[in-house]
Amino acid sequence: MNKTNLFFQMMEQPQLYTDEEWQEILADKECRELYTLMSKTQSAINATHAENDITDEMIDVEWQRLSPVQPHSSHITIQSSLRKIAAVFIGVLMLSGITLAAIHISRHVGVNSGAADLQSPAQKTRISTTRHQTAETDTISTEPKLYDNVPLGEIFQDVSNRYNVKVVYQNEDAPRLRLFYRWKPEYTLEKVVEMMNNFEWIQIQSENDTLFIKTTAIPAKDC
Amino acid sequence: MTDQRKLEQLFRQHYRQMYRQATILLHDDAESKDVVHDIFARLLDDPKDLREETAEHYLLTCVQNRCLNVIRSRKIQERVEHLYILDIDTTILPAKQLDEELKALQKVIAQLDPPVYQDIIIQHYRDGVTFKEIAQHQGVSETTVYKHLRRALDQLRTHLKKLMSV
Repeated sequence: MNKTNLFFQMMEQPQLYTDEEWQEILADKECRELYTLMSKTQSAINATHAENDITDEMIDVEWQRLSPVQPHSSHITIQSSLRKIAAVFIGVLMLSGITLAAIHISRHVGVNSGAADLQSPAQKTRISTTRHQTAETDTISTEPKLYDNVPLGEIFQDVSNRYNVKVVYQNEDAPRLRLFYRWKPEYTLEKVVEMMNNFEWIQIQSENDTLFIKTTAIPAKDC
Repeated sequence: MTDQRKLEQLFRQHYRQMYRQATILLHDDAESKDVVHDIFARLLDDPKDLREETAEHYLLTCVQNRCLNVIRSRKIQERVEHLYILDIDTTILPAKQLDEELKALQKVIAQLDPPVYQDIIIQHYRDGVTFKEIAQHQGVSETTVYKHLRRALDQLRTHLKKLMSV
């Protein structure tokens, strides 16, 4: 088989060939030129798609994906919180009324239950006034976390906490290496290790709840 | 709130351009959308680097840097699979020249002759049909498809050179 046919065949299933085989074929001038042309052809076809097929609706959807807080929602939340506070307040009044009645019926029992009842509505009030904030914090913690040009040390601090594993750096500049990485809550530890190992300059080995991390090169800066 | 509204305006104004730039480099719809998404997610969080006068240039540079980082993070097999550019560390992309070249390429793809060459290019690169499937569909051997592909690419190269030298 001639070289270009071999190259086309390799392009069909790139994963079947080793790094060395790829380096060898792409070192061939003709194959490399063909590759570059194929790459540009792909870009040109993708550009056509980008120009013709991105509708305003798609942009709307993408913006909504970004901003969970809708323009009116904070207003509504404040209103509904106020309504809830009012409801709880009425609840407290009612409960005190009941408590008062209870004291009349049985002094001893009344005092005890009154103390307990009064404590819980007070807590409820606090929860409902901070509800908006709480909801926001919740969304952040269950959503994917984006590490944007963040040192490996910081990322793996989170990984260590989240998956309860120890982290050992095998070269001293490893924790300082900066990385762009998107973590999703559904990832298992194995998945995170696998993804990290996809970075050419990171090697991670996992042994008995310990991750051994080695890095080989310093990557270029992100913006 | 004002910041968010301003960002929304920038998002709507530059989305197509940013997406286009990303998909030219990453050749993937979902990944390109994610790149634009991540840039704005960061800006919503911390917009301090963004100036209104330089917004367009800034946003497009962000797209390019992020895409190149994605490419850098991939192994050779994955790079080849997605037809990512190979010499990212040595090639700086002059946006305007690249743009002209892609426009010219779009034109010459549409002019491929005989039509079977165009079919191979469009089916493979637009619709993701493998060469093997194209061969089966056309009732020819894979070697024949490779031969046609080779000729199609040669034609693209020749016509592209002509167009770009004008």
